[in-house]
Amino acid sequence: MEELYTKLKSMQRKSGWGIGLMLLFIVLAVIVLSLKGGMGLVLFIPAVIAGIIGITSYKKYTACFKENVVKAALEEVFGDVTFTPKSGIPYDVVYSTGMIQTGNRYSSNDLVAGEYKGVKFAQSDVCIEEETVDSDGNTSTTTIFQGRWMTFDFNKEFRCDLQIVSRWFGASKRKGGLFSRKENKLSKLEFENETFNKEFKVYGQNQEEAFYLITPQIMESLLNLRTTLKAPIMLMFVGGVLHIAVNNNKDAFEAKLFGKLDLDVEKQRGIGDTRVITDFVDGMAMERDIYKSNI
Amino acid sequence: MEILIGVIILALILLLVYISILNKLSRAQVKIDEAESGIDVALTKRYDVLTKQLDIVKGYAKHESETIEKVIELRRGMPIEEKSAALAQMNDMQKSINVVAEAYPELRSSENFKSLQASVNDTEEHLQAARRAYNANVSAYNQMIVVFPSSIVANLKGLTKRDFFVAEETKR
Repeated sequence: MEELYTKLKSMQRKSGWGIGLMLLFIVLAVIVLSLKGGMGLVLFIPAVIAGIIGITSYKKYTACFKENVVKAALEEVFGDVTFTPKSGIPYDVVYSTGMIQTGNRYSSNDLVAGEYKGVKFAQSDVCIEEETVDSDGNTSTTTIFQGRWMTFDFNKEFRCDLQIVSRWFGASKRKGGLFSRKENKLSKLEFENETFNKEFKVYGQNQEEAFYLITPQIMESLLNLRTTLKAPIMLMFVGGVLHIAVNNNKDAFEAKLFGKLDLDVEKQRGIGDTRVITDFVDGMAMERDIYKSNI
Repeated sequence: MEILIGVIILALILLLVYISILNKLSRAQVKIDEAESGIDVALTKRYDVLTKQLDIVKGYAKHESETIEKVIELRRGMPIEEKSAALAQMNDMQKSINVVAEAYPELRSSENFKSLQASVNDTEEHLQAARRAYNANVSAYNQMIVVFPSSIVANLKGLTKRDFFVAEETKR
């Protein structure tokens, strides 16, 4: 433990210095450029060197942090779990839902796959962006979605597609276009809980199935989860899989670049990041029979 | 002439509004009927499972099972309040079956009984869902026929409020 701490601390320091110096040289270069003109360009050279050292060290530091600290946190919560920082939920899985805007850039990492209370899950960080080029050739990038994407596999085909979108979840898309078959189109559904109706919009193909899956307790849990997460969420029942997207503009399980490094605190932070998964499983009581098999 | 054109345009607008409200009300009625058929399906399922359960109980406790009266009557097109009554009878019958099962551990542990118990839970979940969907549709429809301007169309067509499907709350 002590050895790991020393190793991580040294890596953190190296990457912190590298990135810090890079930023300092960039600021100095801009100041000199504005005061003395071309001379300032020279300062970009140390900025680039410091940047390369800092970023390379940070990559190594993050890899080591995830392999040792995050993995330990995940194993403590889920037992048998696989954690692949460089992999993510595939593009096809996300877009096959037909319920999220596509964008033209997709990236995903920190894939966690395991089982909690008998429910198989996978989760990763997902970032969907739209890159556009205007008539002057200027490129701009808009982030459509950044946050967690979770899938829960129930080995049970739901009778219909169902989409639950909280307020402010701008990236959602209604499944089924203008020319879709009537039975494939999702229509808006209202529930008996007014607070839930205000906070969430539900679209489904079958009203009874929607009421079967969204019970009064589930409505309360979703309202609580929405408050706890402080981020817009979207749930999608498609095929035999429940997809949950949390648009919190954050990456989970990341290593701290600056500040005090306490491995116990970091491990607890990792455990805290897993809470998004366990809270959904617990809150929605996913271990119930209705998700498991067609009785 | 201009007044006449104005009156015709106004009459056309009113006609369109009338047709649109009438269509909304008709759609709401269709949704209620669809949800009611969902209740019928769930009630029939529940009845079938209950009957099977009673047959198994008879095999283990012939004497006690004779006291469980099977007075439930289900028929097509029965009014919603009769369906509520049938559900209440099924709940009573279920309670009686559970009481008998309590006294016979071998009955409770039999695979058939256990599998039927799982089916009972599932049919109850479906029934709850069907009931909530039906009541949500009835609530939306009842609101429409009392709120202006749809209340005018509802009065002209002689539409009245629909009854809710009242049932004993079962915890899920």
